Amino acid sequence: MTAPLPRWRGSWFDGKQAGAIAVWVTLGPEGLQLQRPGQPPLAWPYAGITQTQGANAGEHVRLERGDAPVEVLVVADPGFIEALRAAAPDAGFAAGLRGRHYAAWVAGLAVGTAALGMAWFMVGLPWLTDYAARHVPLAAEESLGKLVQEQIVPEDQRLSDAYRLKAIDSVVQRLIQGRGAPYTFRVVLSDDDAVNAFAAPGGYLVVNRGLLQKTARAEELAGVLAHEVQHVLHRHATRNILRQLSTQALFAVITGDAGTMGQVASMAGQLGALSFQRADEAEADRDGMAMVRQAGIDPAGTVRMFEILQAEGQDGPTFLATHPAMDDRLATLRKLAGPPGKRHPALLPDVDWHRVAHGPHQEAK
Amino acid sequence: MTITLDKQAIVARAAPKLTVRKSRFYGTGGALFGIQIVNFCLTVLTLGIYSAWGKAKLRRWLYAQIEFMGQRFAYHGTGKEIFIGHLKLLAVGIVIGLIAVATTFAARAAFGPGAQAVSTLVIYLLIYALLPFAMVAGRRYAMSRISWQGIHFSFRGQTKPFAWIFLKGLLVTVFTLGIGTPYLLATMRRYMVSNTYFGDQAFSYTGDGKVLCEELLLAVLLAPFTFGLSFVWYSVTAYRYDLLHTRFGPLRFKTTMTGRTLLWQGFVNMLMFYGTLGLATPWVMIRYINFTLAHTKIGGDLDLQAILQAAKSATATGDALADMFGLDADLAL
Repeated sequence: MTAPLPRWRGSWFDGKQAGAIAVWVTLGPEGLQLQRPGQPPLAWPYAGITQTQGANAGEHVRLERGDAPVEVLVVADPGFIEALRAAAPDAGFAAGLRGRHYAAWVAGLAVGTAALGMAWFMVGLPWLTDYAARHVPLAAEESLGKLVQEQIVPEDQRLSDAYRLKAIDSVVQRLIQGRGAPYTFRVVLSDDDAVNAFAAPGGYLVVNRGLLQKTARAEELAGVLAHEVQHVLHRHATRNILRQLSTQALFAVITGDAGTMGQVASMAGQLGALSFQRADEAEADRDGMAMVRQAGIDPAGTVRMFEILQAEGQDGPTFLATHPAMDDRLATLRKLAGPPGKRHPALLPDVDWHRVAHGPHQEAK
Repeated sequence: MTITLDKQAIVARAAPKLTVRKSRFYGTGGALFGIQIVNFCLTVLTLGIYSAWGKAKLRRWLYAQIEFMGQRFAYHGTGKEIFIGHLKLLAVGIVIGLIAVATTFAARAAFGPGAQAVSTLVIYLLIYALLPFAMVAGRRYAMSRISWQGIHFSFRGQTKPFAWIFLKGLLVTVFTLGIGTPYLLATMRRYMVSNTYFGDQAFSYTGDGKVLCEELLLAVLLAPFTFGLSFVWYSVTAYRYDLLHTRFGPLRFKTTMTGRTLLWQGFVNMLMFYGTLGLATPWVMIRYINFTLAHTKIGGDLDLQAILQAAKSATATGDALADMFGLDADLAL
């Protein structure tokens, strides 16, 4: 007497009606045999079988065969999948990873992903956005800058006194004179008390009334403007916006949240906060000072301006929040300004700076 | 003596012996956690592309854990079709985004900054007008990919009649300051459920939600005195109502869930969730599924041989569209 072939209890569905038929399943060399009660057995060649379930631990093995109607065989026995894989090693039946192997795969994947993600955020993304920022067309930078400038200072919050604007513009022109800067610098004067100034991409600058009021002469304003002009020339804001956009777009893609796609599209207008990193600030400080000196403007004005900003910082306005380590920066600026005593001609000798700083109706205010 | 006999006869007639069953869920929090971690990592590593395959994998696992009458459910969606659905939705999203930006700028140029808000509002309304389409297409896809006993589910509803039901219910809801919400939900559910088929046989839902409107009003009035807990009791009442009005052939549904048990369940789940900073989410989900199924009783005997295969085709675009609104189309009846 030969030992009986191992057999498994299964449920067979003919795909035409919902009733289950209990079958005994045996594994042959060419395929499965399904023994039905009172009916001829069914032969399922391995080649025509698709496995839809049973790869995960604890799942019933579910096999499909045929095409409209699709027949289904379900075997609940946890030992069946390994027997099936042994009987037909090349038919592609999957058991998945189980137990310790599965845990190791999950843990390894999680650690690897975290490491790669960190490397990406700390090295990859900055490199990519730096590269992209250097290659953004000028026209794109300008329309982006215009948008940002409009967001920070809407039309009705701008001061339009021609005398003040002309003086501010003269300072900018003097700074960029003969440098062949690719940008057209447009400064708006914002009716805002905060002692602050901003640089949006593409040459769009913002000077707050609060900052202008603190200046005693044109040379001081020149210090701030040179700094902001350098942010523009180095494309700091453009790069930051790209970085922010790409990070958020990445998160939207990762979370698979299609709803945030629309937000990404409309976000360009919401990037009001133009904050720079320390290295950017140091760069703008250094090159701003060089710019002031090359234009023949008294660098003491720049130092004075930053002293004012530092003093303001103790009251906690926004400028310093984004400009850390002011002491170090001031020390560097003083060094770059060179030895004091050298005489400089006045930057705007014909301009009544008091009127520029405080406006035409300063007594009323 | 005769009275007693009559009583027995009445009782026997009123409550014929029903086989009462429960559906069971076999999945564990640990298994779900593993699947979600792997999905998340592979999605990150493939810059989002894998998410479609991950979604299919998760659903395949979820449905395979649900058992009714000794047989598990099966999910047939593929990552590829879900991915194509995502791509189509992305294209639609880009077009809508461009239209939004263009109209906003045009409105602003023509009528000044005030018009911008109006045009933004119009865009949002247009997007939400897609909601009924998303619900119908999403359910059509979801049902077509689920099977049990080798027989597929299907949804045969159409967008147009559903959109009218949606609009009518929405108007009622707005004019009743929200108290009509159960009416909106019940009429929507009636259309959704009674157009849902298992093989060639339809489910039915006979509720109209009117009783629930009174219950909701009561819950609102009691809310200030119960710290809002009256809404927990209301939600159980609404759930019980929905199950009692749902049928499939001879099958009846009911729940033994009460406001007290749901409150306790929610309290423990919240402790688990916040106590682990969200890490226990998979376990919380499984706990909730088990809780719901343990309280759900299904009575009646199905003549399975009489249910015949009648599958309908559907694309995964509806799935992606429904996802956009955070709708998770599932077997919930």
